This record gives sequence, structure tokens and C-alpha cells, in this order.
Amino acid sequence: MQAFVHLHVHSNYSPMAGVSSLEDLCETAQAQGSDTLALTDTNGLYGAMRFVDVATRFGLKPILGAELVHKQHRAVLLVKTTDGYDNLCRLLSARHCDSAFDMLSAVPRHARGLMVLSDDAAALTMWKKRRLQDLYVELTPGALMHHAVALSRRTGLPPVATNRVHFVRREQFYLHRVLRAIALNTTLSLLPHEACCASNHWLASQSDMTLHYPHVPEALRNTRRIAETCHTDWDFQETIFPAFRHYSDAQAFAVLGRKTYEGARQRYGVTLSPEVRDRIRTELTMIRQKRFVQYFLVVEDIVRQSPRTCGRGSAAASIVSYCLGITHVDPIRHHLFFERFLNVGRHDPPDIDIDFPWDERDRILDYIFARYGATCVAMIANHNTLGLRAAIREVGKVYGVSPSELNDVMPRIVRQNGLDYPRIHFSIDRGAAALCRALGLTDPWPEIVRVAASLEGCLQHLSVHCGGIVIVPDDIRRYVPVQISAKGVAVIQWEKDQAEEAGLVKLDILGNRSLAVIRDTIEAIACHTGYRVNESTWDPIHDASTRSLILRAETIGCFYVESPATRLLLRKLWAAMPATRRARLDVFEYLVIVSSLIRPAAHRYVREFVRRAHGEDHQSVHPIVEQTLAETHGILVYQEDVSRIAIALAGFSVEDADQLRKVLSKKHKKHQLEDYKVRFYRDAAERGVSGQAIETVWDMIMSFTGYSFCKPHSASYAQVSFKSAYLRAHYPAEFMAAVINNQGGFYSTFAYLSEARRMGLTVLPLDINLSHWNYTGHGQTLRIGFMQLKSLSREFTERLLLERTTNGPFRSFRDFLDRVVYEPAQVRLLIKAGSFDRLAGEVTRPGLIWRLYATQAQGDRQGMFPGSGTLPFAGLSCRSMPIPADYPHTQKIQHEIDLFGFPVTVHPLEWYASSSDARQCIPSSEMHRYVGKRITMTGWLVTEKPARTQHNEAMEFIMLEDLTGLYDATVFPRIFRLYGHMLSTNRPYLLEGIPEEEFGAVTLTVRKVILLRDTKASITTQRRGALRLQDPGLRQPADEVGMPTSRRCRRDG
Amino acid sequence: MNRHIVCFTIPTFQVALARLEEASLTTRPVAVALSSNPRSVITEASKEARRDGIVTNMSVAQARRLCPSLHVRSPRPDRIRQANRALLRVVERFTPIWESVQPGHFYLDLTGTTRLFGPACDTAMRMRQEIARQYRLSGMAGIGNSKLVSYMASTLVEPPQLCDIRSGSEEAFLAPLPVDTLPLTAASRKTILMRLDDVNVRTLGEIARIPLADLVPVLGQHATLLHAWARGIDPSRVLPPARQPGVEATLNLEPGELDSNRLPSLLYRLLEYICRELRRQQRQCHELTIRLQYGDNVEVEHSQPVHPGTLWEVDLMPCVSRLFVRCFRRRIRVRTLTVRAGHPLPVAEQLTLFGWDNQASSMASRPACRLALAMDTLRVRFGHGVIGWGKAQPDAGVRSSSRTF
Repeated sequence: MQAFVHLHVHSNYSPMAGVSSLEDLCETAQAQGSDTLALTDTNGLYGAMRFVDVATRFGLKPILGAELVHKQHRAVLLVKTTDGYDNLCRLLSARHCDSAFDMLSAVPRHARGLMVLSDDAAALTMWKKRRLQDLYVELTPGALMHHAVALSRRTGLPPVATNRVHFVRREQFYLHRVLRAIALNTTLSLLPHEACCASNHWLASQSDMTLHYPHVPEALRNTRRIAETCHTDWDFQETIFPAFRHYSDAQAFAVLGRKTYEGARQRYGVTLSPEVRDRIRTELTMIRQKRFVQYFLVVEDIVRQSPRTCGRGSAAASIVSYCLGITHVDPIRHHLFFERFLNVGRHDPPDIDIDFPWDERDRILDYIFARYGATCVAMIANHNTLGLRAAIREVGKVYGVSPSELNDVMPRIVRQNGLDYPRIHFSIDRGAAALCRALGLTDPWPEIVRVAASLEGCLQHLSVHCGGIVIVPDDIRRYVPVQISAKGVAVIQWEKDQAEEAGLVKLDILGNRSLAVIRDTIEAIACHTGYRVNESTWDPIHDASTRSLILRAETIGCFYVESPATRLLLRKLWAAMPATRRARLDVFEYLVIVSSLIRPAAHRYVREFVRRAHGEDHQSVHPIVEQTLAETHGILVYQEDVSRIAIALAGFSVEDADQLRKVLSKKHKKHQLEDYKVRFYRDAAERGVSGQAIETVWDMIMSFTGYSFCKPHSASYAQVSFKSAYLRAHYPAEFMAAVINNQGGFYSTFAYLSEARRMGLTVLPLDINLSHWNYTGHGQTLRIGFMQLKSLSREFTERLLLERTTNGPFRSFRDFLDRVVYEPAQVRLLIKAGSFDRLAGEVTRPGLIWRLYATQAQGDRQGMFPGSGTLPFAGLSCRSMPIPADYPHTQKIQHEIDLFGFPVTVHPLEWYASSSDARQCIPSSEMHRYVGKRITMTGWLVTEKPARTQHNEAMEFIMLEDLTGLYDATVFPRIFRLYGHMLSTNRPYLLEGIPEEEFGAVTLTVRKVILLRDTKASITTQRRGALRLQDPGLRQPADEVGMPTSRRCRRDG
Repeated sequence: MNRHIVCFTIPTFQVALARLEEASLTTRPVAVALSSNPRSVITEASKEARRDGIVTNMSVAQARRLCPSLHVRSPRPDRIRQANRALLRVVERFTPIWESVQPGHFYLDLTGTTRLFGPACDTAMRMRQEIARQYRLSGMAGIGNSKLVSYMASTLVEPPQLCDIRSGSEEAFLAPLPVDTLPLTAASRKTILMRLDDVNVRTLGEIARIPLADLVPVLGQHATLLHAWARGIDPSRVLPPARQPGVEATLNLEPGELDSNRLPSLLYRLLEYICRELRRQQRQCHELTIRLQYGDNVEVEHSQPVHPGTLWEVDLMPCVSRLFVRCFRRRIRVRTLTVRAGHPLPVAEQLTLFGWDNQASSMASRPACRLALAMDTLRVRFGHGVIGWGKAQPDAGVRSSSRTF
């Protein structure tokens, strides 16, 4: 046993200071012969749960602690007892949340159960006076150690040796400095010396440490004494549930039962069937047994705060949730099994996810904090670590690389798949060198990439999880340190995985834009027609128009089924399905399957599923698989299928099978998954399953890594999808307006407007007297809202709308200027956007701007604020003012692109009509006639979805639209290598390729990509039609017309 | 009296010089950048290169992607200065009033030289031929009654053409020209063009037709000037050659320097050169300016008056340090360092009435100044690099840490 134990160690969970990972620290400590290790990250327990796990794996006893730093004082606090842990959490929370925090007085208040190490003379002297126990003087090798030794001798406090470890190896000091430079926004040469630790603060071995303490050997011995005193036997098995109105468990159960049966009678009618009664009874028993009673009541209380929610996740399998109004899918009707949510063997607490309309979420969170007390509630954190991409960018800045160069190089690195190079080459150095060689990057880039790759994973800061919230019965600061986010919300220091490991039950309050779309559409319908959709009796699932719309895959704008991949799958599923099967299938059930099947690693099973759904023959993997997964044609679709197949094929226990399912979605799962794989292969083989079958099934199980859904979750989603589809089918204008207004859909506004036109709606321009802030849909028209003007201020628009509502429509431009307090730049935008066209009469848009400038000039001369109502616009000699010619058509379009982000009055491909004609392009509506033949098509790139083949080659699925419709295309690796760099959304392309038909859906396999702007140069010299695009009078040549690009990679679909 | 102004330009002057030295570049795409390092930026591009989409301020790496056959050459300041002086020698034979805007670009006032050399057009032609014959540099010229007209005329032709705008036809000549070809200052250009675009005024002819009173609300203080320009009126004079207004030294750092310990040393090195030059010219610096050009082409410049004037390093070094701190505020590599001694005036060596030492000689008697003089002597005898101030040695300081890990 070693005499010396490292008691002051920072991992990369010390924000922007610690360099080494927990694994690296523990592995090195183990190699050095240590049996105990402390983790003392700066002002936090950010990685405490993971440290306990990793240290245990390496056979080390984990000591939890933190280095508390505040102003000029500092101390290392180590947990001696479980009370000490509570106190440490409270102390750290106070450090972050209390603006009047005073470390010298706070530490003694919470010192019970803590060991305190410090070399802060003022602090130690004061704490000694207050008779603090377990107080030590920290001696760290370096120039100032003799001061600490003197302090120890002077005060009589025992010394203890530490090395204030910030990195494992000596040479990593450079990485620490870079990290500090990133944190302080400076360069290495300007980095203050005191902002960094010393170069010798590494994980030194016992022999190295011993050399520094010949004069105080007791300092080394004390480390062992402290280590043996500290608490190392951590147990976080206990689940911490929220409390509802301080009810006892019996009271809460009575209330839950009453509410459940009341809800059941509303959902199923006054007389409940035996099946429903039995199910409710079983579930209530299980809920009571697992102590979830109060949790359900809390969730029910929260859900009641909004009339429109979507309870999702495994909770949707519960009839109690359904009866309480937490979820809205009938688990009996859709065969959802409660055991997926709660079962006897499940040890980890399941959480309930609730979607609220995105713009109501903050109100709900405020309610929770107010209702359950700010001390009992906190949000879950996200650990924002340095990913390689961010690390390269940040290190680049430290090395003085200009933003433009970073913006130039970063996309090239991403395109080159450079972020995977260190992993692919099994070495940071080799990976960085290979990447820079491949991209032709010279100094200092190889060093930047190398340093960045070494810093990957370091904690930068906390952010607030999008919806995770923890409610505890007493004080949250007992369980975990709490910080205050930039928005002023209390946030725990753990992300969701660690919170769960610590037994904290999480509730997900998420914002959902589609719920807001549904709400806004229903409101608009009520406003326009007087008819209000009754949501309690609304049954879109059995509506023929809605089913037909889904069968046609016309689902753009519909929740979760609008992505190109989903729509393509829907088309393949229905288009070539034999009529007899199609007639009897349940569209809702299939939509539930489709929602689950579209996930990153499952695309190779999609084709097989469609084949089987069409009734085609297939070779059975194993009879047990066929039998277990009969509902999904022998394909693993839902999360619970993993558990079911593990039980059926390999004889896993329910608990183990459920754990396997859970591990698949974890971030740090490599080791556990390896264990499960070995067990699965061994157990299945023992049960006589062939090696090939085991491998096939395990591959299917692996397709659930990343994210995947359980059936209850998909069913909840599918129901919202059906509601969206219903509204799209019956009230298209109101629906599309709501989709655009709530933003955040899969497509850009331009793509939604194109879809609206294809749906037969007329898109109306901006009008000062008719437009509102939002888009408005009515009948067959969709009016653009002021929100689309990118630079228009909301406050100014609300002012003008208020004036319009109060005193009636504006009668003229002059009337507008007289009545509204305006800023000239804002009015200029409105004029260029054509808002005044109906009012202007014979005055052109340039003429209006001229008058605006004249008004402004006169106001400046007279010292008046324009538009204050006192400016006599009539006093200007308007009649004598020039009326210049209107802007040319091309320039108006350019203005639309500048102001709205896209052309409104023409389709951008119309600019290139002549070049398309020249190449005899096939419209998308005709492409199915040319299956197998090489054709050329034009297309405006709407979305791209990067993908990788089994051989890890980059390829892309793209969706384009031409003047006749949307079409999908596939760019396979060979072609992607040639043309991938040219592909970008919102650009016009000529694609040469071969239409291919699969299951009745036609897609283009691309052979050649030409950016239309490039082709036109040669065409303009030959064709007169194209010459108009190069009007010499224009500032910006027409061939430069292009909308801002975005390279968003969506995860779904 | 009718003025005859010639605007003479050798387009892409540095490219033309590079082609003189390497005949094989004549028809090939050529660009000038501080170095051929991929991160360097293009400062000049030949017509062939521009045709492939290469523009100034583009990185060499990006330019090479657009035009793989691009030839990149580094600028040679001494060669440029030498060539410009040679051109001026030709120009000076025809008129004493010339203004060099930038190397290879001059305005000449030929007013009153008609009886001596013939019409301005012929003179410009002879000058162009002379330059082409002697130096094999092909230029173009615009001739008009003002700097504006001659400049606008020169933009419409290509070497070796000339464009002569006859007196009285200026307004008609300018009328169809787009407003964005006007030589507006960088500060006002964006606003003026934006406002003209707003009211859909595209040509100089349209500006000329608008009453000035109506133009004022749109263009404000610029209205009068632009209205006059649009009618061919530009009274600005060709400024005669002025004496060198300051002593300047520039250092190019490729691929850039970020070390805040090293950069001041490099600045001191430039200061050594400046001071040596000032002592040689027996002038004193009264204003010191430091200019840093960052890797993203942003330039930051700060000046400080120096009172009393001085020509000694020891006096100017603190000033350099202060200015550097003010300039070096960005976390981007510095690409170019420039030190400039402004308002250099001759050293006033007024003898005193009673024979005591005057101020200048008492200053020079300080040990640091005597040392500087001694160093100057050594440099004259053994070369510039033989000795230097310790502060001006970039690697003399202790580096704060090793870069290896």
C-alpha cells in the first residue's frame, strides 16, 4: 500500500482548467500503485457520478471533493461522511447562487463531515480560531512551499502533501495553457502567469512526490490518514421522488385512484369494461409498489396547466397516464404494454416526457418553480464540452488564425470527415498530420489540429437541458450542487445520465412547435369560420381525407412525418402495396412503425421492412424472432423489441434485457455494451441459435444505438402527426400559415411557400394595410407577414399595427408618415418590400424612398423627429419632386431575396428557364416515365442529408424542387467525391442521372452535378433569352442571384 | 484656360514587372501575394487570373483552387520603387506638374505645353510609346479637362489605347457611365451608392438631369460635388511632386506573428532603421505612427505626437511600446508591421549667443545617443546586420514556455 495518496486532483470536469479525462487519471493512478484517488474539481462535482463509476472500474477507492475557490480564498474540501457530502453540495451551491457568499464564514457553517485542506493563511487562521476540525495545511512542491511549512509550524495545523494535479503527464502543461488561453480569450504570449497552474502540477508518482518532502515526511503520511478517513463507499441506489402537496403515501394513492377512475370514465364512458378496470388496477398496484404515486400526481398537476400537451416516452403505455390526461393514446386500443414503463425488476426510475407548445414552455417552468418551491426544483444541465470542431476553432483563435480563415478551413475539415481522423488513425498526431496533408494545410494548422484533438472532451461550461427538470421532496442542494444559469434558472451540475445514476427522477418539459401549430390553426379556423374543433372528440385517425393524404405522403408541415426520408418511406410503403393488403391495413399502426423505423442506424432494415409489408417472401432469421416480432414482420422496430428479443432468444432476465435496451442509448456505453454482447452471443448459442442468426439479430440491436423510440412514444407522436395531417387536409391555408409562423420545421420558409403553392394556395405579398406580424391563411390565400422582413423591428411593426387598428387603414404614404412614429431605415425596408404598392398610385417605389429622404431632410433641418405627428409632410413640394422609373424586375427580385430571404413573386428556377430549355430538362412530374434512362433535370436544392455507407464512405440524399414538384435524388460516394463540395441548399442545379424506381417510388441516381450559375456563362453567349439576366444596369448581375445558404443536418429522417 | 489633364495607368503594375522579368508569364494567369504560402492574400491579379474568378484579398489557397495554373509572385518593393522612379523620369520630361497616385498610376497636367510638345493627346501617346520602348511596359491613358474626366476616360480603355475627351463634350461623355465607376472615397462610397440605388438613379446623366435642390435630400453634402461631376466639372488640381512627407519602414511577416513578446522587438528593429535614416537625413521625428495589418486584412493604426522632436531610438522606444499596446488588441496574427516617422523637420542647429551647447547637441551627448552613433558607424563599415539593440532582437527575450508537448 502506498503511503502517499493524491488528494487534490482536477479532471477535465474542472471547467477550462483540467486537461485529463477520468479514465486517464484513474488508469495512471492504478499503474502507479495507488488504491485511492480523490477528485476535487474546481467549484463543482461536475463529474462525481462518473468518477465513482470509473474509479471503481479501475479498482480505486473514490474520494469525492472539490476545490472551493472564491475571490482570493481557496480550499480543498474532501467528503468524510455522507453528511459531509450534503454540506459540500450546499457549500458549492451557495458559492454559485449566493451573491453575498463569503467563503471564510460559509465553510465553518458547513464544515461538518468535511476535511479542509488549504494554504490560505487568512482562511486557516480564522477557521482555526473557530475550532474547525479536520483542518490541514496544504503543501505543494514549488517556490511557495516553505511559506506553507512555516504556516503549519506556526499554527500547529498538520501538513498534508498534494500536487494540485491538473494533468496526468508533465508535457500536458502546454495543453493546460492553451485551455486557459481559450477561457480567457487571449493568446499564449498574453496569458498571465497567475491564470495557470504550475508546470509541475501533474499526477506525480509516490517516488517523485517523496523527493519534495524530506523535511516534512508527516505531510505524506497524512495523505494516507485522510484517505482512510474519507468516505469511499458510495451508494446512489435510492430513488428520490418528488412530493405532492406533502401528502402521505396513502393519501396520495387515494387521490391518484380517484382521479384515475374519473379520467377513465371520461375516456371510456361511464361504464368501464373489465379489461380497463383490470388494467387500471394492475397499474395502480405497480405504481404504488414502485413508489411512483406522488410522481404521477405531480405530473398530472403540471399537465393540467396547458390544454394541449403530448405525453410521450414509455409513459404513454400506461392507462393511468391516459386517464389522468398525461398521455393521449389509448394503450388498450393500440396494444401498448405497461411493463415497458414500469415493471418489478426495473431499478432505474423511468421518466415522463411531456411536450407543451413551445411558446408555453417557459410559463409551465415558472409554474413548477412557483408551485413546488425554488429550493426543491432545478433544471438538468447539459455539459458543454469541447467537441473537436469547437476545439479546432478555439485553438485556432489562440493561434491567431483569422475568422475568415477558420470559416474557410472548418467546412473543408468537416467535408473531409476530418473530425474522425484521430480516431481512424488511432493516434492524435498521425490523424492530425494526415488530415492536414489531405487538405494541404500548412503551419500552424497541424499543431492546431493536434492540440485541439488533445483537448476534446474538456468541460467548457454548463447549459440548461432543453426540458429536464428535477423535483425533490426537500432541498435539491442536499443532493447535488446547483448553479444559476445565464437566464437565471437554477441548474444542477449534472447532465441527465449522472442525475439518473444518482437516483434523481427527471421530468422532461419540452417545447413542441407542432402543438403550437395545431393550436394556432384551430384558433385561426375559429376566427375565420366560427367553427371550433372539439379536441376531446376529435378523431383524425378515422378521417378519410387525412388517411388519403398520409397514403399519398403529402405530409410536408405535418409533425414528424415531413422529412424526405419519411415521405419516401411512406410512398414506398403504400405505392406498390398489393391492393388487398392495402385495403385492410391500419394506417395509424403503420405510421407508428414508420416513426420508429426512421432512425440513423436503421436505414438498411427499411427496405426489408417494406418488402415484408408488401407480403413478399423472406428468409426467417429464426423462428423465435418471427414469432416475437410478428407485428413488425420480424424486424426490430421499437426499443422494447430489443428487450423482448434478448429475453426470447438469449434468455435474458427482464431486468437485464431492460438494462441492455437502456445502455444502447447511453453516451458512455462502450464497456457495458461489450459485456452484454459477450453474454448475448454466449447465452443465445447455448440455447441452440446459430451463429449467423445471433450475428444478424445483434446487428439489428446495434441499430438502436444513438436514438430510438419505444412504441408508446411513437404512438403518441403518430397521433400528433394525424392531427397535423387532418388540419392540412381540411384547412390548408390556416395550417401552412401556422407552420411558417411557428418556424423550426424541417424545411425553410421558402420550401413551405412552394409547398403551399403546390397545394393550390395563392401567396399574397406584403401589404401595409392587410398584413399582420404573422403569416395569415384564409380560404385559398396565404398572406406574407411582416415577420418575414428580416431587418424589420418588432416594436416598430407593433406600433404601426396598433395605429392601423385604432385609427383605420392608412390612406396614403403621406398619411402613414404623418400617423406613425417611424425610423427612415425601417420605412425604406417596407417600401422596397412592396408594402406601399397599393397605396402609392403612380409614385414608384424609388419615388416613395425619395419622398422619405425629403421628409427626413426637412425634419433634420427643422429639428423635428420624423413621424412625430408634428412634421407637416404636406409642406413639402411633393408634386415637384421627381418620380424616377420603377426598379427593374430583376432588381425587385433581388430586393425580395435581400429582404425576405427568398424570391416571392417568381420561383428562383425561372431565372434559369432558358438554360434548362437548352438542355431539354425533364420536369419532376415526368421523371417516372424515364426510369432507367439517363436524363437531365433542374432543381433547387431544398434539403440535404449526409450519410455514410457501410464502408464509411460519404454520400448524400438530397431533395430538390423544380417548377412542377419535389423529387428526391441520391448522390452515391463516387459522385459525391466529385461534386459533393458543390452541393448546398438554396442553390440551382442541373442534375444528370438515372431515375430508379423502387416499390413504386422514383428517385434520381445522380451521375453529374452542375451548378446552374456556372453553366449559364456559356449559355449567355449563345442565347438571347439569358442575356436579360445580365442587365448592365444592375449592380449585382443576375447570375449572382442566390439565397443565403445553410448547411443544416437534420437528425430525423 | 482650358486644362489638359492626362491620367496614365499601367494596369496591374506589379504583375507587369513580374512579366518583364519572366517572359514565360506573359499570357499566363499571374497573381501577386506577400508569399506563396496558402494563407497569404492576393494583392494584385492579372487579367487572365481575374477571368478565373480571382480577386484581391483572396487567399492564395482559394485562388489556387479556382485557378490551378496560377503563378504567384511576391512583391519586390525595391523593384517597384525603382520602376516607378524610371517612369517618373520619362514623365518629368513632358511636364513639371505630375501627381503619383500609386506606383504605375499618374496624373499629369499638360496645360500650356501644346506649343512645346503638341496636343495633349499626342504627348500622352509619345509618353506611352517612350515607356513601352524603354521599359516594355504597356499603359493606357485618358485625356480630359479635369482629373475626373481623364480618370473616367482611362477606365474605358485597355493598354495600349488612349481615350481623349474633347473639351465641351465632357457631360455627354459621362452621361451613360454608371455611378459606381465614380472615384468616390471609401468612407462615402457605400452610402452614396446605396442612396442612388434606392432612388433608382443609375447613370451620371440621370444625376445631371436632376435639379440640385432635389438631389440634396438624397445625397446630402455630397450632392453638390456629384452634381458638378455629372456635368463634367472637376476643379481639383494635379498636385505637384511634394517632398517625402515622412520616413516609413514596413516588415512583412509570413505567415504572421502573434507573439506579444516578439512583435515589439520587430517594431524596435524597424525603429532602428527609421532612426538611422533620420540621422542620415538630419531630420527629427515629430509624430510617430504604428500600423499593424492583421491576417484578415484589417489595419489598425495609432499615432502619437513626439515633443520635442527627436531622432534617437532611446527617446522613441517607449512611444513604440505604448502605440503597440494600443494597436495590438485583436487575437489574430499580424501580417505586416509599419513604423512611420511623421512631420520630419530638419534638426534646428541654432548656435547659442554665449557659446553654450544647444539642446540638440546636449541630447546627442547622452550615452545612449553616442552609442547609437557608434552603431551607425559600425553598420556603415560592416553592414546593417552587424550590430543592433538588444530590444530589437526578437529571440533575445525569455520565452514563457516551450511549444513542444
